[in-house]
Amino acid sequence: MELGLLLTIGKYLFVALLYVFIAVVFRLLILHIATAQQPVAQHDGQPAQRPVFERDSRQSPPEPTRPELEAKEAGAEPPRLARLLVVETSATNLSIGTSFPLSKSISIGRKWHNDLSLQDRYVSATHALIVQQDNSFILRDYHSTNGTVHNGVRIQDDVALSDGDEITIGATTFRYQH
Amino acid sequence: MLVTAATGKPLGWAMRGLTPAGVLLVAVVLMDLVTARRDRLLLPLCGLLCVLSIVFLTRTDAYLATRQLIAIIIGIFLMVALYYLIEDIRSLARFKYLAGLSAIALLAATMLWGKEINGARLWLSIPHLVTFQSGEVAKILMAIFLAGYVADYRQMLGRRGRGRISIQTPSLRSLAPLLLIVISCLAIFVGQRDLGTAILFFGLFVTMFYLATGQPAYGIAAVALFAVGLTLAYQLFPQVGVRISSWLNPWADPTGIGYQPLQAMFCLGEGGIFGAGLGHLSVTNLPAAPTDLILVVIGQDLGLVGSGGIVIIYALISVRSYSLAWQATDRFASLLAAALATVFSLQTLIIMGGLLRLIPLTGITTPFLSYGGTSIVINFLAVGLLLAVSRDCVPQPEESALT
Repeated sequence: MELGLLLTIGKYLFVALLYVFIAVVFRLLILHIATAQQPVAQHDGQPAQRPVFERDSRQSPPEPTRPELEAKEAGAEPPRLARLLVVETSATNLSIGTSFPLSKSISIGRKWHNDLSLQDRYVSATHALIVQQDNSFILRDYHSTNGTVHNGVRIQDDVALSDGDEITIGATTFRYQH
Repeated sequence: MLVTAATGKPLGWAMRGLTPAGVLLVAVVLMDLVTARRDRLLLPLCGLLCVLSIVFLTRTDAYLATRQLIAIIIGIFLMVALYYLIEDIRSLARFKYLAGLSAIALLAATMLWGKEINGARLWLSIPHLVTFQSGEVAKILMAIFLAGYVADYRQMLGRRGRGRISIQTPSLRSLAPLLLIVISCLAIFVGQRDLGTAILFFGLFVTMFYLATGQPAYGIAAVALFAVGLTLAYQLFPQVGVRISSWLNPWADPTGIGYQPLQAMFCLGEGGIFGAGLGHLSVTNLPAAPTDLILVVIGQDLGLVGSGGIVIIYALISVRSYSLAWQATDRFASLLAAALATVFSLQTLIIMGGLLRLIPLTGITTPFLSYGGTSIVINFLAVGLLLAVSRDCVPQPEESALT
């Protein structure tokens, strides 16, 4: 009788363990999804700490960090400036065809303190830098996890940018125009 | 049975059940030596299925369990070797024709010189070395071939025609190698009366065509072809007719052709909701219990609740594999992951549907659970490929909670 009871308990324990395992897997999956959405969630709390790009200050847009707005205004800039044109993206805060004028060194990354912020979970917090040197610009990877790609090649060292170069960071590709 | 379970060698059995978990742990440590950046969920899920496989084989036939344990250990170490051998999963695309042709060669060799076990000639034997089931090996080779081919010729397959679902017929020259390999492969399976595997491969081909092109026309054409093929097979091969009548009406011949499906249903019925308990009822009346019907043994012992858990685990593995395919940044890697995921899930669906009498019961292995050395090793190699895809082509999120 006692043995029978033991075996019955064992029987239910066996199935219970199976479901404990499944529960752990589900918890991991949920965690995975939760961390994937984190950068977007941070967005609401933090307004931009400094203006991202030079622009007219007569207008204060409701969401000052939206690069699209700046890009639209920046369209009026003189054309001789170097620019970054978005040719491909799946970052949530960019759209294809917007362009960013470059007038100084900038940082590119996922966090909002960067000059150019990409809402893409495969972009590192600070992913890459574009450094001004005299009249030209240099692309530098900033120890990113998934790498910075210049004309199809993942860069290790600094690369001098010239007109028409393509820069891929996460799921976004820029064309450098000078 | 109850007494043996309690007074036999419980410690030895427990040790045996936990061995796959231990070996897997060693494998994970070995794989982490170079980089820990890869999928972290697939291996634990497959490991659980392996442990359950050992438990339920021990309960059915202890000798088979020991052999299965050896296969699992070999499989895990081959997986680690493959994982390190492939430095970049994308380079595997170069071997696509080699993979496709060797799949055909293996199947043809089996048809000609294969070894017969239980009336089916599905095994190929290299004397003094190894005997393996060539259909299982062909699965993984065919996945590599299809992924590589379809990734290259995607444009040619998928040129859109004028209508919504019409496609321009692709040029015969670009399709010829593909059709040649696909058709000879299916012909061999049908010739060998290995219909479960034939359906599995057909499903894989259609899925790959559809995934690469996004043309619903391929899906519609496939359903039509399937109907035609089934009718033809029904007319040509008496075995198909037997399978179908034993599915539709097993009571017509309960001791003959209807015996296996009926026994499966009785055993599942005896399990009920919470199961009869591990090893409580005998399974000697269940034909092919360790291979085709291992899920029935689990259903009898653990009941609806336990086998539901198994179904959830299979679903999780499928979802995980498909999500790797979805996230992969390289076209070949993505298609390869999708092909492996399709083989895995289709196989599981075909056997589960057969046991529940939703579709005719065909002899096909249950991944990671049923007894079969080749099947275990090949499934581990497939997981190794998936892990290599996740290592090389799936960008890892910055803040990972899974490490």
